[in-house]
Amino acid sequence: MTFPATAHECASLVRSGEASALEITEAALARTMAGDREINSFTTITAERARSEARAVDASRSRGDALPPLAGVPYAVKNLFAIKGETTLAGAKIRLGDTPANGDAALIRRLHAAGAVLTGALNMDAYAYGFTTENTHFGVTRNPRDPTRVAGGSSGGSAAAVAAGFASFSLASDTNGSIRVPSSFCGVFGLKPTFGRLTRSGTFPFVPSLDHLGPIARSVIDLAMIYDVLQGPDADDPACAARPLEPTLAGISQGMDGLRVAVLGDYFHQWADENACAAVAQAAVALDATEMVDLPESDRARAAAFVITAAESGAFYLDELRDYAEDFEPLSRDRLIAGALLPSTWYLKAQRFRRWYQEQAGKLFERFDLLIAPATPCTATQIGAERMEINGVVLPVRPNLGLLTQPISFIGLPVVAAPLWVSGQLPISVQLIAPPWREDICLRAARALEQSGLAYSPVAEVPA
Amino acid sequence: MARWWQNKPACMFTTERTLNPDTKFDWSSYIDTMAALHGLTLDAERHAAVVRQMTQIETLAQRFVDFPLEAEVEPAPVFRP
Repeated sequence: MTFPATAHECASLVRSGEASALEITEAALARTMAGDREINSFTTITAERARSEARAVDASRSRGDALPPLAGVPYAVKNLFAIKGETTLAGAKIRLGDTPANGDAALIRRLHAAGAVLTGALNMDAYAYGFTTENTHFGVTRNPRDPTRVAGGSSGGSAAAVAAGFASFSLASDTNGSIRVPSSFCGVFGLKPTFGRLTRSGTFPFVPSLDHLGPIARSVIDLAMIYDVLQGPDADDPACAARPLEPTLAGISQGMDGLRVAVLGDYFHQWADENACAAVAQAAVALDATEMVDLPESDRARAAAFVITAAESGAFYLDELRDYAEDFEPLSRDRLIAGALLPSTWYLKAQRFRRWYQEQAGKLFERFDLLIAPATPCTATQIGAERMEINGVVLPVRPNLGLLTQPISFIGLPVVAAPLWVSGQLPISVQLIAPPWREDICLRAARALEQSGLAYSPVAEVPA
Repeated sequence: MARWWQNKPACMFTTERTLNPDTKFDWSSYIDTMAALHGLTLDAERHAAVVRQMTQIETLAQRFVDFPLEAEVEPAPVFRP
């Protein structure tokens, strides 16, 4: 059988005629329907749409048309993306009665134009507020590497579906770490581009000051292919930058020559357990890092990101909290209410601090092109775990899994999370962090780690 | 030599401690007032839970609210990294 396969493998099979898009789509749907009973990564399977898109690709090939880069590649999206004819859930019970979307999110439209085949919508923490995808209403998404563990969040379905081989890639969102944390826990590659790079039009917002979108895949070539077709300005998202297309795929395999690499120490070392530290150490050697450097006041940055998140999300949901509080996710309802009531001076100081912290990162990037840090403090935690111990300190799990990702997304830097395997069968990722708008450097470094054999993402075995 | 975690940074979000144990702000009254202002009705259980959340957020906010910034450090209406 030809599936599961990576995105570039699927596209190659279709282009060569070794498999039709419909055959690949049927294989993806069958694998999903059999295996997702255990994993619970999908909330909706769009089988008829997928077959229709696949048939269109096959018809195009039969006519001898030039096929677009992702022709016949099955993918799925976090359920905060609008899908025409489907209700956009954003992980929330309160959205179940909403009118179905009358069109696709902008990034789905771009993927459709690139020939990709949408097979469904994926589970997430309610509202994207969480790091574990333990969704009280839609159920927990289990980690395909160990189903007793969480998949991470909030894009847990997006990472789990790719790890399990239900889809070749997925789309996800990342406000405080929601691409990078589940990518680390599930052992897949995730790209969080620069804030403002990819349009968010047609997605359900969480924290507009911090929301990013990006792809998750099982190879770096895939990440670059997908990212390249997602780029482009969009006036419908006021935060989307009017930048030209900056394709990355052609340059990702040029190695690390000329790149100056450092490891982030201090805060990013303090909150990393032995597995996270070991992953960073291995990546540092492979990428020829020369120094350990401090990004100052990262603890304050994390705190400021937390306050911005609470304030913006609480304000966004205030009307519905007033009317339907009982229907909100119990794991985040009370924090949303508190966020709606926060003093505005805290929020504004957090936004000002963001500018200051950005300047500190800018000083580091005068000396280095790439910074390495762990993505998560530890490997995937057990489902239902309330506490974790990091270097002798006991912390609540759910608010703290993003300790190491929050400072980086706070200032919008591009990051690839690349999975290493330092602890037997459980993966843990390193963050490969570049200056703003230099996703190409993140992808080059990730490809170098992949070519070194340290970073890779095999398909997880799941019950058929 | 002391290991780093013997000087645990106060930013850590724990349910057992606050950054400044001398801070005894009356969050209960604040939440009563602000909830009324925003038209939120909180029963006793929810009110207590929101007080707990607000206290935890305060712990984090104290990490940066007093951090000195020059006047020209302004927030960006649309953030451009």
